Amino acid sequence: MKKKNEIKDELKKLSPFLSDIKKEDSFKVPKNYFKSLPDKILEQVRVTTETSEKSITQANWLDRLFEYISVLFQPKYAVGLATAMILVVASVYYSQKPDNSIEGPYQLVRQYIEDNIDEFDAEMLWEASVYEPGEVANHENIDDYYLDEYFEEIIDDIDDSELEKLL
Amino acid sequence: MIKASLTHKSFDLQTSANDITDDQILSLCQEETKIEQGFKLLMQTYQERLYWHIRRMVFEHEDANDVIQNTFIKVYKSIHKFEGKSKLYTWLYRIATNEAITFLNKKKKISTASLDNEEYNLDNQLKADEYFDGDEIQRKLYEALDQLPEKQKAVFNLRYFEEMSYAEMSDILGTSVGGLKASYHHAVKKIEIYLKRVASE
Repeated sequence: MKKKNEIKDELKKLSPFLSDIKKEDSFKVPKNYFKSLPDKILEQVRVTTETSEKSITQANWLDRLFEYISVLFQPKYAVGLATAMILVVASVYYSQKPDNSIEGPYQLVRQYIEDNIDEFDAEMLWEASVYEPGEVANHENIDDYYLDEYFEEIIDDIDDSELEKLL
Repeated sequence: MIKASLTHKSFDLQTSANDITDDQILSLCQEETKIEQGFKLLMQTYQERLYWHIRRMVFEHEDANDVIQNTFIKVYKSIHKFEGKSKLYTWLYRIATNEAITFLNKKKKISTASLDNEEYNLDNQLKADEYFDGDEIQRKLYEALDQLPEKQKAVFNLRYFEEMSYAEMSDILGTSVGGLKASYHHAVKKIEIYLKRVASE
C-alpha cells in the first residue's frame, strides 16, 4: 500500500494531468487463450528440441567428413591444394570492388558523444532529447551522474538535427 | 473474450493461486524427466503477467502472442542455467522485455524498408482492433507511448501500469535506480506534452 501511494504521489508531482487519467487496461485476448497457451508452447519446444537433435546428428556426420578431407592435407597433396586456393582467393579479391563506404557521419557523432559524455553540458543534452522544442524539463532533482547514464542510453534516439546543435 | 484487469495489485509474485513456489518449479525443471511438468507450471504461474507486460509494449495480440512464445522457448532452453542470483520473475521479465524490444526493433526496420506508402496510424489500428476496447483517451495514451524509445516504454509501463519499485526495475532492466528515475520522469513529461497537444487539436 505504501509503495502504491508513493508511486501515485510521484506521478501527481510529475504530471497532475496524467495522474488524473483513469488507469485502465483496454486490451483483451481471445477466449481460453491462457488455458491453451502452455500446451501450444510445449509443443513448439518439443519440435525445436527435435530439430536441434537432428542438427547435432548432422554435425557428427560432418565431423566424419572432415576427417576424410584432412587426408588431403598430407604434405604430398598440400602444395597443390595451397596453390589452387591462392589462385581462387586472388581472383575473388580482384573481381570485387573495394568497399569505400564509411560509417554515416551521425553515427560517428553519436559514438563521440557517448565516449565523451562528461564533456557535454547536461542542459544541452536535455534540450536535444526533449520531445517538443521549447519544452521546459524539470530535472533538478536528478543527480548529474544519473543524467549522464540516461543520456548514454538514449543517444541513439536523439534526432540528427539536434545532434548538430551539440557540436 | 477475456479482459485484462490490473491483477498485479494483489498478485503474489512468489506463489501462484495454486501455491506453487519458485523453488518447486525450479526443482522440477532441473530434473530431465520432470522438466516439462516444471516448465508447464512455470508458464501457468507467470504467463499472464508476462503477456500483459509484452502486450503493452507491442499493442497487438498477434505480436504479443509471437513474443511470448519466443520468450518461453528461450526460458525453456536456458532454465537449466538459471543460478538463482536474481528472483525467478525478475529473470523472466528480463527475457520478455528483451524479446519485446528485439521484436519492435525488427518491426521498425521492416516498416522503414517497406515500399508501402501508407502511413502507420496506431489510433486507427486500435479502433479497428477487436482485442482493444479502450476509449479515445486510452488510444491517445498508447499513441504517446508508441513515440517513446523502446526501453523507455518498458520503464514507463513497469512503473505506471505494474507499479514496480525502481529497485525491481533495476534488476530487470540492468539500469541504475537513478537512471530509471530520469527515464521515467522524462517519459511522463513526453506523454503529457503529447496528450495536451492532441487534446488541443
